[in-house]
Amino acid sequence: MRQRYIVTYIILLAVQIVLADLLNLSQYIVLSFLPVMIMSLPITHSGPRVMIIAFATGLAVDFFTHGVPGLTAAALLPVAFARNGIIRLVFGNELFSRKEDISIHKQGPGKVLLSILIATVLYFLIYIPLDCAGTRPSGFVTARILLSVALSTAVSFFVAGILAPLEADRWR
Amino acid sequence: MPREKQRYSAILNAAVFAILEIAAIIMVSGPASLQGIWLDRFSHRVRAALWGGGENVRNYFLLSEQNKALARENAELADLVRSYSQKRLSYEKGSIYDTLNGHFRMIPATIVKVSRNTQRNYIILDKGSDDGVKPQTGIITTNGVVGVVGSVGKRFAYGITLMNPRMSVSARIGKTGLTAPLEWDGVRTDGAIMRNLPLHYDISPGDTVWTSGFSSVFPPDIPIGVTGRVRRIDGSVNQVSVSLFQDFALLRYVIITENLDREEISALEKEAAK
Repeated sequence: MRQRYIVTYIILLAVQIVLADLLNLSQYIVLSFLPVMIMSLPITHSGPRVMIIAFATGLAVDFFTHGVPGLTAAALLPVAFARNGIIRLVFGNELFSRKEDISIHKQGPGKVLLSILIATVLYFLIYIPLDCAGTRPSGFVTARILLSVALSTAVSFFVAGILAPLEADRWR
Repeated sequence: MPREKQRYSAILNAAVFAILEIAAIIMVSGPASLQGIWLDRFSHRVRAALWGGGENVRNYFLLSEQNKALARENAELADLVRSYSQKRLSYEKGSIYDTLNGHFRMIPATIVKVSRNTQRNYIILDKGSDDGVKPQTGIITTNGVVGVVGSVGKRFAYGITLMNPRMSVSARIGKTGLTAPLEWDGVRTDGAIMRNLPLHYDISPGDTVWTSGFSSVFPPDIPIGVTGRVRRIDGSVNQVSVSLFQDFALLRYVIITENLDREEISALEKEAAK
């Protein structure tokens, strides 16, 4: 089970790297489902462990794609840091007491979507201003954040379904 | 006890977050250390090997566009040959030969990888130090300026493109002769802007924009694009949009330009600065 999760995580990371490098929708859109990958990590993982995974994941994406080392890692770390807070805010403390991972089938699509949205907003609020580094007008930056959040949240919802399908079967 | 444990856990979380975030921000600020430069080069090499295949597939589907570009280039070269023949004739008759363009060595190269979908785009070329490529040399096509070579490996060269906020080109607007830095507009693959232009210059849409030749990286008089809409910024300066002749989405072959006088120019600049 654990091995299967690791393999799925690595495959999704590879897909994210390929998409980040080859998918060219528009300068207004950045597609990233990394926040949901961090949110979907097992609930039993400690905070520092989640942050180290987020850092390594971000660096891997940076290394293989756009050539700005640290950019994705810098944006993904706050998501990892705020992960437990987001989970408490959206799902309550039950997930921690039951040691239950985030799943669309268990917690319902509404709550999962809300948690993904918060994580994705947090990610792009750091990623896009840091990427533009003061060289682009604020209107462009805002439009880029809004469009990227909209598309990435939709794709992330689908990815959340891939990350936890077995638990759903067990739950039924 | 659990409260103490919670506090300890919160402090540990904050400390790990702060350390990793600072490390990431330092990395974003730029590779200052030797290890950083080494990592950077290693990353360029891996990307060149990894993404070269994908770019080849994409280029296969762009062959028709490339053929048209080659046909255009052939026509321009034929024109150039004719003009040189005329110059040679006038030289033989005793006229002064034009040496204002400086001495540039041109190295043709094929793109291994070019990014277009981020704000800090880069390019990897299939020529390196074995082919005589040096850092801080220009990358052009017959349709304009592409970028600047940043670092060079044995077989590959890595550079930033004009689609990167770290790069600007000294450009001249045709009729007026007004010179200003030209930068990417951040949105289109064929869009650029020229900022801080004095108000008293009359810039008409459709004027050709050329390289000025004021930098030692690019040869002068390469056509870059045409001027578009002129906007007044804060009532004090003009900003003009430029439609580039070279669409970065159609790039495949480029020319690396090395100014053979660059070292002499740099030495003179250093001498003057003393």
